[in-house]
Amino acid sequence: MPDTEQNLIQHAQKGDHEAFAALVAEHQRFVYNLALRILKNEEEALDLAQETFVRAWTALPNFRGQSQFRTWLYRIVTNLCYNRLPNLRRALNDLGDDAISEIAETDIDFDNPAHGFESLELRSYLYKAIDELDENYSLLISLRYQNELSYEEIASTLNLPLGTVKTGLFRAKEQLRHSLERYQEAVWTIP
Amino acid sequence: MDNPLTPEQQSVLIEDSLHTYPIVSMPRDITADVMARIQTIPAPRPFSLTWNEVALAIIFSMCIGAIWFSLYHLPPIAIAQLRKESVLLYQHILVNASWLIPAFSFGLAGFLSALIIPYLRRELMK
Repeated sequence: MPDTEQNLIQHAQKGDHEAFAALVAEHQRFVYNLALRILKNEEEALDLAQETFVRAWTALPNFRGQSQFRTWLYRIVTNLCYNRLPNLRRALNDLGDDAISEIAETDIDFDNPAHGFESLELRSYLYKAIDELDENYSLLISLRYQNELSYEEIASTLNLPLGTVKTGLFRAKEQLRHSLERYQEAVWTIP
Repeated sequence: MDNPLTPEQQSVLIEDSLHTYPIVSMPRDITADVMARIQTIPAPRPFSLTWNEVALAIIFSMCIGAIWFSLYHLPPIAIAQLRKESVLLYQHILVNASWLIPAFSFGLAGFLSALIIPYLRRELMK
């Protein structure tokens, strides 16, 4: 029988350590990445990732499969982050619920050879800007783009209104846009 | 850089960077560490009630029900008598055994602490 995730979860719920080890091996990278983006510290992120799986083991009997296992893990990660960063929860709630109906997510190929070097340089700069986003924006960006959750899944994971999630992502992108503009102005003014 | 990017190009670049933002690799595999930590934790078991717990719950419920039933079905004179006796007892304690109330309060606090402190210690030691 193939070891599907569902099988592994069922075995782990019955106390099977090997099944749980397989789940840890499968999900640790994404859990660690999410923790790292929020905490911005490798050691703390590793510690939090371990803590997440220990909590998951003790809470596994309560996992009913209503959400995906990975989103359930991300919820544990964010709850542990709330404990370590007491202001994170407030910062997320303070995002508010502006009237942002839809966020345009363009899917245009930027690999135009004419812009190759320029886009590479700008992209590196943007990666740095993403690294430096506030924790609340980092959390939303990471869940959306690295962990590939839908807006609804993010809202459910963070227990936030859907509008707040959209607002947060919109503002995160606006911050990145401002960073990009500052960078361009600096480059533009260099003789 | 030839020209500043238009807002549309900025959007595309930002979106592209967000989609390609690299996922870092683990500095080390944590599976062994996690498994070592959960070895000390009893295997999870689904929530279930034992027969003892059910029996206790029934007995407690019946006691509460009996008290409620008695209070609502006692003759008014008996209730008044009870109230009078309880006031007298309270006053007797206040006058003749004033140490009893703080002793009882501290005793109750000590009992609750004895119940809670071992649990808190276990949680803090984790």
